[in-house]
Amino acid sequence: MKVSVGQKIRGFLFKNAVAILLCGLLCFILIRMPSFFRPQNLVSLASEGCSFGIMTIGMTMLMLNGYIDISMGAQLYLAGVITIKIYQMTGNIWVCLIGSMAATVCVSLCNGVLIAKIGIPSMIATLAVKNVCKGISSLMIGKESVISMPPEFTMLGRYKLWGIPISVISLGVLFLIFIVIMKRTRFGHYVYAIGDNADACQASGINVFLTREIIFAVSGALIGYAGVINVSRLGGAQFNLGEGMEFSCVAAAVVGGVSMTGGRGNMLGAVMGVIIIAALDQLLRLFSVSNYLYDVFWGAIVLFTVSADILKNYEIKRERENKKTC
Amino acid sequence: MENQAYLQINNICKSFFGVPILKNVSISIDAGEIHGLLGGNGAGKSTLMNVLGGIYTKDSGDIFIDGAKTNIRNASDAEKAGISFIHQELKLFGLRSVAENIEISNLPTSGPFGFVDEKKKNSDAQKWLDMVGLNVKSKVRLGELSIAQQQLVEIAKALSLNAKIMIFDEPTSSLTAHETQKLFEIIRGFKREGRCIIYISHKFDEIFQICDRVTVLRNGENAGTLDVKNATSDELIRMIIGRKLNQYFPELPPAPGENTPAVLEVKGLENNRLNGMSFDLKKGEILGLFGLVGAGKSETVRAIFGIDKLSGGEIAVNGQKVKRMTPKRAMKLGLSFLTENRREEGLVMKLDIRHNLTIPIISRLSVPVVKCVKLREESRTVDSAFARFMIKATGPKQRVSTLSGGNQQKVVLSKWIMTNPDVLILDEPTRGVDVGAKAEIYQLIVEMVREGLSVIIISCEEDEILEMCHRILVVNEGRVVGSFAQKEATTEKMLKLCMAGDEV
Amino acid sequence: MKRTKKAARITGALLLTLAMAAQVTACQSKGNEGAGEAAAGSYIAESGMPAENPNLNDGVNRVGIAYSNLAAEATQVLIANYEEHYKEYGIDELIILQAENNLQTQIEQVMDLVNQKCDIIIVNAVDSDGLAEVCDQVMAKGIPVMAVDRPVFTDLYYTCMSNNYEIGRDVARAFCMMSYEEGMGDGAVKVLKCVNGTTSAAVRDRLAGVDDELALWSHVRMVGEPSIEFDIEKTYNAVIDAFTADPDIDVVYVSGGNYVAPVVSALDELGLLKPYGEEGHVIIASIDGTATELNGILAGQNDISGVQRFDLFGSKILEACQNYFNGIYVDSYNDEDLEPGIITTPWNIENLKAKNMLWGIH
Repeated sequence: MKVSVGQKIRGFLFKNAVAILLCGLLCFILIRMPSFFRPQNLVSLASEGCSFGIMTIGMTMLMLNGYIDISMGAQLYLAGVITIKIYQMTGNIWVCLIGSMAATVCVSLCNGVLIAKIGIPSMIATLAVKNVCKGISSLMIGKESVISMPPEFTMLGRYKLWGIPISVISLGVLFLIFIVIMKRTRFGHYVYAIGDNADACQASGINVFLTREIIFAVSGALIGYAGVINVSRLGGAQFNLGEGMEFSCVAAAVVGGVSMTGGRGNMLGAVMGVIIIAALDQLLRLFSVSNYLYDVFWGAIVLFTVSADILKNYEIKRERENKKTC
Repeated sequence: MENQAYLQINNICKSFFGVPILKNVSISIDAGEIHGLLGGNGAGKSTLMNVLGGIYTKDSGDIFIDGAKTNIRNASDAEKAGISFIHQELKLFGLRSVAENIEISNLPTSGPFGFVDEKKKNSDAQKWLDMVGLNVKSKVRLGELSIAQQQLVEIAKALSLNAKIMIFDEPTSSLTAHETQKLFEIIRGFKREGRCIIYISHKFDEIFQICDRVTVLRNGENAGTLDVKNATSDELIRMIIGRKLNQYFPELPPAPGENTPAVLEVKGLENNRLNGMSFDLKKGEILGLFGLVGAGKSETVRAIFGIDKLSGGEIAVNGQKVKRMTPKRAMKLGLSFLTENRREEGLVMKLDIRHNLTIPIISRLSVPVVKCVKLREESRTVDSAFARFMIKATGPKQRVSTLSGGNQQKVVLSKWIMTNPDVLILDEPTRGVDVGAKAEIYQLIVEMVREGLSVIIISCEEDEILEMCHRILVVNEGRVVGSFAQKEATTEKMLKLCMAGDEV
Repeated sequence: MKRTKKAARITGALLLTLAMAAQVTACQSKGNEGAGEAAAGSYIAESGMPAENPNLNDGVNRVGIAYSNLAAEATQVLIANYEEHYKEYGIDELIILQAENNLQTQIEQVMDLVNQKCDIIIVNAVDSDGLAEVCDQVMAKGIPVMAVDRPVFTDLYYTCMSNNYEIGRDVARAFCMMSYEEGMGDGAVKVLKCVNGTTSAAVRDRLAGVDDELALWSHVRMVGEPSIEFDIEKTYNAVIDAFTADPDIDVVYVSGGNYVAPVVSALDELGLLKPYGEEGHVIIASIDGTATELNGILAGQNDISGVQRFDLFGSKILEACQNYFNGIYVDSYNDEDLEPGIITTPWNIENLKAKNMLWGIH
């Protein structure tokens, strides 16, 4: 089979578009801002990226199933607001943790029923749920306002273990746990299998609905935890918190090689993706990019990574077709 | 011979939405028997097998396995009862490894946390692969394997679940002749081991080759069980259709003479699948293209119709050379192309029959400038198509996705014929079509040719090619390797030419 | 023939009469308006005698408040003040509405209050420009409009708000003085000025005050002006970025009490949160006087808070209402009370608290 040089180059570019972009980025950073790689900066990076990093774990599991959850940002918002309200009532951060995690798990389970049982496409169902969560949270917090909390509230967010903030440690520990779960346990294998061919799983006796519900519940719990850490770290909650954060999660996952169509990708890649996206975020701030250009840039990144993903799949399919005929 | 059959199905009834699909069906199958199952579309074959496989639950009736009454409520129950279903569309995970596919129902675990034991998984799977004679490593990703190999993986999976009853649903539709024989060997092996095998197929020659007995279902009832040794095709056809079919293959109109002008000329076609394809088609001729899977038949006609790009070669329609062919231009020149896969490329599955029929000719049915469809003319056209092509449906508003394969094919055929083409290209026109509809389609083709149409038929079925074509071209590796007139052609001659240079 | 002609003539006459009547009534109402306008004009021209207030003499002293939103801490203190004390000032009825930060809603609410026969309208503008037109209309009717905490860019009866420019200068002066040490050269002290959105007039004025004051002190220089857009996450990130690039920044200024907590968190995370007196202590200065800020000062986390006198806004507005009802009017049109702020530091906070001058903590 004659495969022209042009086709070969195009194939390579499509398959590795994201990796190429990142190499370019890395070179750019090394030249312009070498202080980026100082350990203190990396720790700060991890801390800033903590909320969306933890949420990316849930999003990755959902994407492996071919789903997307647009309501994550709104759930983070809900978790934050509930944390504040409970704290104002009880003054006990642990009750807040339980309360907000319970709320987000419920919301995610609802998502699960709508998507996995009733069969509403995930983008539409989660969009609707997002609006509901946002409305409820905004009602509780009052429009356009910021609620700031007494200094004791920020104790959890600022707590340090061996000099590293707890947000960073949580992120690291959770990532490790989930990398192991997805790779080594039966549950992880089921998640991949369902994402690949749910019918085949059904025929093999795997309870597809239960597995999917568990994924949603776990994702919800993670968001709840991230929500508490987030507001504790910032010392308060504000209107429209977490708006658009879910797209950072999708971008991070896609950059890390997780495919939006399901079945492809792994948790380790998602971790890499989170680090890269957090780094890009900081870079933009360091170069004092205007807030609106910021939006343009992020839109472009998401567009680029999703297109690259689709083109990569297309390229793989084409190569396989060519191979088969020979 | 045992006194009691291993698998005894008694009086199974099943209805969907009040419409009875299975009416008191009873079959008995012995251990170590290969039992064929025949029937037209809608006869109830798949429903019956789905009941057995636990995907549907029966309304009434009993199933006895090895003398014990068995209740099958879901796929798990069926699995426990030793029933294994090898579906026509393989239920496998393309992105996972072969081992994962085989072991997915019971992944072996080890260690305190219950982690999956990868080593054991791979070695267990390899065991089963060796048993079916598939020579691949169990770590390989399933998507890398050919369809035939994937099918063997599914069989290995069935073995690993200790299947005593194996159901094969049209297993050879995507296999080459060689692979089919390999499959038969394996099935015979299972027979020797004493398993029950149910073999569903449309292809009579396979039934005769491999089955011991065959049951025919018609309209949800058991129309009879025959010993294959004593059965004839005619008898089987009669049982399937319910009446005697006078002539399966119609009589062809006379072949065009030597001096008849060529309506389509193709010279030296080249692209990444074709290597100098050349032939011509005379007016009023039925030309057959025969070859193995992947030989380049479909690629040829796709290039002629303009779907695939050409890197070299010429196409001339009615003597007029065409530089760059596109489907639109092809249609304007009078070509029509009925593709291999009607579901993806031939029909708009979500629309009804009426729309599918009229979309290509919509401009003819519309008022010129305003572009509104003349509804009365449209419905007249659709009705006449219905009658002429004997489409069996509830009406023009029925969704095509709910039609049987044969009727779907008739819709596609009538759609193209209504565009008044000069040349009609048919790629596997009777794949997945039941016997009755097949005969009707052959009849329709012949009628069209009598009215002046020229036809190219591509088929893998030797019978079809031999009986329906004036002239047959054998295609291999992207070019014509042999040409026969109908009188001279035989299956052996054709297959010999196919095998030459075939590595498989 | 004859009958139709007669009918036509009668119809014509009727129509003509109707038209004339309509014209007359139109003139009449115009006349009224003209009178009103002239009265308002005379109000402006004269020493402040108000034109006839149509809602005034109905036996009930009713005051309507149109607030922008009731979510902020300061607002809640203010409203509580009104609700507790309005009766003492001779007001019979108080109607409080909030517009959830929607300008259109606020405009409608102001008109609603007028229709509900409020004698005085108090507004806290969602948008200082956008509310001007409806305020003009209300004033022209003879009903006095008072603005609290946020200005309306037109002539009103009375406005009571903080002197944001002066507070800005005061806070800047405080941290300039606090940061001075013997023998310091030029530009020895680095200041990070976090800029909230400049859409708010208050924020703009404060920034102007800070800038003007900084120009007077040579040992101080500004090293960064990150835009934090009313967002606590952005505040947090801005502080992290700035201090990562340069850990030697000495002063952080934020405009708004809500933004102190993320600054403290960020510094703590970088390990740069040192108590006063210790080497490397960062002075955190803010304006508002919320409970968070004040508790933070008590806890030794932040240092300077420019406390706005929300407590006074209440009493001054209510006093103005009381005077109005008693026939004592303001001296000149567009009277304004710009309240100075109180600079609160760790060294005077206890004293101020005891004197009940801090609205954030009691």
